[in-house]
Amino acid sequence: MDNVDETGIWLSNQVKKLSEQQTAYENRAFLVAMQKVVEEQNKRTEQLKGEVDGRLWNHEQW
Amino acid sequence: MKTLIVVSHPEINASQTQQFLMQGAKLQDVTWHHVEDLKEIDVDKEQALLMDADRIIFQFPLYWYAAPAGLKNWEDKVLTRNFIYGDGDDNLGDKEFGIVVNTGMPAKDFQRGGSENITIDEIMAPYHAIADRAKMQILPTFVISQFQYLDDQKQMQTLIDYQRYLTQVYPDTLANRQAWFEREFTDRLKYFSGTSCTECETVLNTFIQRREDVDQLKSTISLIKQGEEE
Repeated sequence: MDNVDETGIWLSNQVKKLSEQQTAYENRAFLVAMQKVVEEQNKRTEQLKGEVDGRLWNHEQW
Repeated sequence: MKTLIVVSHPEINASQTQQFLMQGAKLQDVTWHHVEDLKEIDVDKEQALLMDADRIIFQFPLYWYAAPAGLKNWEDKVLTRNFIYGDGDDNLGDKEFGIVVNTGMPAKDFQRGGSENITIDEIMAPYHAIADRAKMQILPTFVISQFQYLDDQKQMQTLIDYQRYLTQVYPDTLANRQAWFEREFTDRLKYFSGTSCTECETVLNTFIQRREDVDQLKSTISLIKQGEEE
């Protein structure tokens, strides 16, 4: 599980690095915006995992 | 998907916002159509342009709670009753309608209790009424407030948000955003500087993998939910 989160952080850093390398304004803008979506993916993944855990531990199902 | 931007601005060359947006609109299947540039309005030609688009955008600066006179003039000539609904054909019925508006006042002013005391949706009511009459799908209005005061980061975000507004599948969900970035990254990576294709492909494939992870988790949750109901 930790592994997946590390992947998310790695991806976010890679996209950031890529954005900083861009000389063309539009490419930089595109990658900066893409990094936000990567962070959104990371957050959503974390929330969904939390929901899976929560539902699997549903006390009514014990 | 084809997008038509019907732009109205009486002095477009002097408008920093419109020039910025014009650069952003240089995308495949996007047509920039400036109404004040038309020497005369050929109704058939204009209607054909509308018919050819899948998404129609009206874009203008807000002048006294409305579009500049040029757009109203264009509307009154082009959007004939028969074309919109009168002849029984829903000529625009399968299309999406959006508005890109820029304001000189801050966004927070456009709400009840704000210093304008009126919302952007209220101001846009006449355009939405036309879109409803034409049975079009209305997109949430894209508002750019005080463009000149935006810092570099916010301007960059505005540029890409605008491009997504023009070409991304509606509605603006994470799934549709991911799909848009996936497609655009594939198209644009050949123009990226300072990087190898292999590096870009790894980024792209990881991005896709992350999207699939989200999808997988969602389907796991819906399976658990089904189990809970049984």
